[in-house]
Amino acid sequence: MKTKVKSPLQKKIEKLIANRLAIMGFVLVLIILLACIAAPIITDFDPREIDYGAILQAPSKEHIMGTDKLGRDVFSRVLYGGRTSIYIGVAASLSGALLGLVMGALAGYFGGRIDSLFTRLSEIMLTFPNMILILVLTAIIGRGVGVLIFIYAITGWMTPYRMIRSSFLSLREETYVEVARSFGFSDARIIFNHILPNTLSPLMVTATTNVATYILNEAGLSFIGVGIPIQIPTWGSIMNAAKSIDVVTSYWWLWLFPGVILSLFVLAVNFLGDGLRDAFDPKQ
Amino acid sequence: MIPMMLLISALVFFALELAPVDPISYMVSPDMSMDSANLEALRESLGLNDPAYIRYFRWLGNIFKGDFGYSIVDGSSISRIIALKLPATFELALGALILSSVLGIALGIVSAIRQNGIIDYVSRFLGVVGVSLPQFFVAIIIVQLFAVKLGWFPTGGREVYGAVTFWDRLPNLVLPLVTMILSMTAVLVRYTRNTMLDVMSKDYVKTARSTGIAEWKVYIKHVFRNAMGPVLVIIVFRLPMLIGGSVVIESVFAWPGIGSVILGGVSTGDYPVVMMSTLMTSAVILFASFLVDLLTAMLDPRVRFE
Repeated sequence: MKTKVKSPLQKKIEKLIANRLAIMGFVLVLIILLACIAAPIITDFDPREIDYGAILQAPSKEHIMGTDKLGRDVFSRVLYGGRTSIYIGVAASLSGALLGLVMGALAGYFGGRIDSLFTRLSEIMLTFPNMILILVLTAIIGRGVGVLIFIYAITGWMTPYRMIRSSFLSLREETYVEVARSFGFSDARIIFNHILPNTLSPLMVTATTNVATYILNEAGLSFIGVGIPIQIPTWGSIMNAAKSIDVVTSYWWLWLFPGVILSLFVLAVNFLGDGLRDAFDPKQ
Repeated sequence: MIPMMLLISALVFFALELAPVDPISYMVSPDMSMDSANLEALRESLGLNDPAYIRYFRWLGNIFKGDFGYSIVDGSSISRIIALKLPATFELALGALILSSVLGIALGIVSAIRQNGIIDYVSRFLGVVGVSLPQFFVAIIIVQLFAVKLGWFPTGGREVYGAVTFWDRLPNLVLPLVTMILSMTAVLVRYTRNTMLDVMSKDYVKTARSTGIAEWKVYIKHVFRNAMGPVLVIIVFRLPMLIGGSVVIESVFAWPGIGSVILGGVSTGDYPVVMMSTLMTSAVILFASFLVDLLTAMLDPRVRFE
């Protein structure tokens, strides 16, 4: 009789699928993401089209999430805004992870001065209030989608850096790395082909949950009016209208719908991230 | 701590250099209007034509003397602004920190001891929900519910002037505090639970249990004390986030704290105010983390002897 041997990856994926919350999260992420991508098919309304004949209408058959102060369709704005919000979250998380990965690999593998420099820098930046740093940087550099992603990358590399660095510190002492070195492989080959693949799964988990963090952060910044300029719809900038108490009390559809969709998406990403953590990173 | 502070002050100073403002506008109170010849003479006498590093040390010296400069928007003295607004942020941040730590640690301990019990499930679920809901959204819902619909608390603001006691200020404090506590507790419950579970699987806990001492003593003396170290570390790590998060909370609840000052400064281009507030905030955070380092040393003899 032959027993089928499962690869570690297969086992991990099976464990992930068995996690109901994670799968629910994954499905929800997929639904919202696809709806945002397919926005032009789902709705005929232009998210920026102003219609003074239809301002502040409550949800109806025509405008299922109502209209805002300029008569723009809220549903369409939520869908198109989701595109920008999700794009910022994913791009910021990836670029932060990439920056942290490169710096962590260099510091962990070579050690010495470069290591103490990067580590010191990461400590300083971690004690600094991130939100305030982001605010100051937007004041100096300016505001916009690309700028915000850049700011998130240079303020968010520390956690990935520390993870990759500590993995490299322990892995570089492993026998297989010694063997690779004695074969005369180049440092670059050892770093990329031999050590890096073994450090990626915890990084993947962090990058996933960071997508949620950045989406939340962008929403917060845009809500208070210092993130993405108000002309570009994002989940946060749509809710900027709810800064006035009149909107909060009288025009609930202006903040409740984008808020719920934003919360659902972030919740789903976090459930997925937790599932990934349980499956791929049993230490945590 | 001190080298760190010097470094941050240098960063702040050179960021100010990069900002597109004439330093004379924030070194001199704007009511002293003068013509350009006078201005140039003043520039020379103030030493603004000196090299950057000399000006940096002079600036640092002024800060130690309590001279923080002036706002370039309304000309008020920055030290006065900070003295007025920082306490408001502290009231909020400290309150949230203490309450969420007590609540988070308590729930975390119960969740760990009764693993997979009802409290564990509920707090795990709420833990994810708590970190996923945007703070400002939670704040709007809370305002709508408890301030507008039920009218139990004011929608925002803070009573400061006159002889108001803490109890007079309390109604304004409740809603922003609750909003902050929700998300902070969520993270802490989860972390405390996992750390406790980690310690509970250690050999010395098994040994302690095998000596036959009461179960609660095992938890208090052997598990809890060892789990506290990492939990304290995470609390310190969240301090900067606490101050940062207060920017959003203060904005929603019109809370006149340092977060509002920084936000206002960023929106109006009042760089000196932004930089000095940032500097003061980080000084406070550094000091707090220094205190916690001391506390950790008290709890953990290994750190003390190092």
